[in-house]
Amino acid sequence: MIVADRLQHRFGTLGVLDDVSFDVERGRFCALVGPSGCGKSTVLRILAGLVAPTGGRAAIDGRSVVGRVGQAAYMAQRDLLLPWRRALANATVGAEARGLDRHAARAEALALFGRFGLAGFEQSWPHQMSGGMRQRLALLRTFVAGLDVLLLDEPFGALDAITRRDLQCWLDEFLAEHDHTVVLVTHDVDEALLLADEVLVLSPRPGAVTARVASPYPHPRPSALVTDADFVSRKAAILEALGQGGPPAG
Amino acid sequence: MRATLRAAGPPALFVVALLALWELWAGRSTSRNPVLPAPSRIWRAFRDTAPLLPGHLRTTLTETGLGVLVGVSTGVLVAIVVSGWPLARRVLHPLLIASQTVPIQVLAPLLVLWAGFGLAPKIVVVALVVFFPVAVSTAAGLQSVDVELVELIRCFGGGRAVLLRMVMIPAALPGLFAGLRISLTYAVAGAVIGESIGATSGLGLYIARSQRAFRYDQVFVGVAVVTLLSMVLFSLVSVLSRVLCPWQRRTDRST
Ligand SMILES: Nc1ncnc2c1ncn2[C@@H]1O[C@H](COP(=O)(O)OP(=O)(O)OP(=O)(O)O)[C@@H](O)[C@H]1O
Ligand SMILES: [Mg+2]
Repeated sequence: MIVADRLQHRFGTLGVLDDVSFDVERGRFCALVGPSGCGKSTVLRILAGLVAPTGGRAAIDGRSVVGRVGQAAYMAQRDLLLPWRRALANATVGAEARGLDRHAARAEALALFGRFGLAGFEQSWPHQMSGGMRQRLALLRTFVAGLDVLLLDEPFGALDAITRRDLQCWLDEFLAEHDHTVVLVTHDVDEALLLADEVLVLSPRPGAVTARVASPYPHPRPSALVTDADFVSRKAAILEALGQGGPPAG
Repeated sequence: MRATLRAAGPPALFVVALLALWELWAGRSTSRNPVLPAPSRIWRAFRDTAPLLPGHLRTTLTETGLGVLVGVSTGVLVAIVVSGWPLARRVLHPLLIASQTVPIQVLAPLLVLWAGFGLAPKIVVVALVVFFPVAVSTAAGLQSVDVELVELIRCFGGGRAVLLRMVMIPAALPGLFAGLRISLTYAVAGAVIGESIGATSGLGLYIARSQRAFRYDQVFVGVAVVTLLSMVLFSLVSVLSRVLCPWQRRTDRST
């Protein structure tokens, strides 16, 4: 379970987060949407233990995340592949860094390459892959790390609509069978509502939670859900909350 | 195969043409100018002194090899210290620059005076030549490491050893090899200069002796062997760098 309690953060004089609170129960999925620069990535970096918030408290399974890494698998906005490792070896970086068995991780990664549309590229260097392929590999690496708290920062941002939809389906099905706790940052309101159980809308910087919209549909969800009347009205509520804050701030 | 031919063909042709011109020119000046002997005379001198050469070559190779080893180790050590502690950088930087401004020709005789006619002073000269470029470019590699890559490893729980193995060493290797490639030819020259000042064996001694005996044909033999040695070592380092940094191949090919 993830708890963020009145999180505040400032970089120097720049106030980035102002009073962000939310809980994500074990096995639940929470999506963060908000204008660019409002502090979404900062929230994830705090939860990953990489940034110490200047105010408030955050904990995973009752343990504070401040200065404690290794509790969650974090996928950054950039793919952060190691240029000196081939695709397959990159897929096991998280698992290896955690000290898991490399051969088991390799087998697990290999099994996922096909599903992620990366079959045949196991031995490619990152510079030989497209931006979308690199992002899929970074997502794959996050799963192979074998942690059950996932922090995903725009994991589908570099993908075309069809591949994106395909991987969203995969993620939805995967999570329906597992017990992962997920925080997802996205700009795509459909994506947020399709995947998450709850969508939080952040205001422009300094980010504060301006709306919480539930997405109470059973998983896995059909793509046709996006045309459902109830879904559309929830989407309208999110868009309105996003619009309230005025134009995006930097 | 065809690619190597295309790469090696033009320079080989050029060298052959140059040698032919040289032969014609040096052969025609009937005075038999001893300072510029014809290639055919150099070849004869090579055949005459060939039995002496392996011993000298071995000495120079040993000095260069050991010197490179010492230079690379200290260079990497300095790079780690300098990129890890900003204070160390400020303290060491002027000293490092100073160490490079002392001309080898001045330093070598002093070293011979201090350390004798054996291998030691030449190893020191070679190490001095090698360590600076290696330190500078290895430090550049270490400092250019993406902070977010470090964070990625860290946030999965990877400690210092994991970070070193997964990020720091691979990030530093290309720089290390770049530095080594730059300094290698100077390293061989350093050993030869050291030998020409005071030694009991080595290509530098061979050249110095030939010079004193006015055997300029032999001087050219010595120079040719030194050049070949440098080229072989250079290729060796290139191959090693390609084997150890396979992800760099793309950029290697484009240059
Ligand atoms: N390390 C840092 N030092 C200083 N300022 C930072 C740092 N990281 C982020 N910021 C600032 O904090 C603000 C929020 O950044 P953050 O990356 O969290 O935004 P975001 O909501 O993820 O935006 P986007 O949707 O564009 O990714 C930005 O204005 C950014 O300039
Ligand atoms: Mg962001």
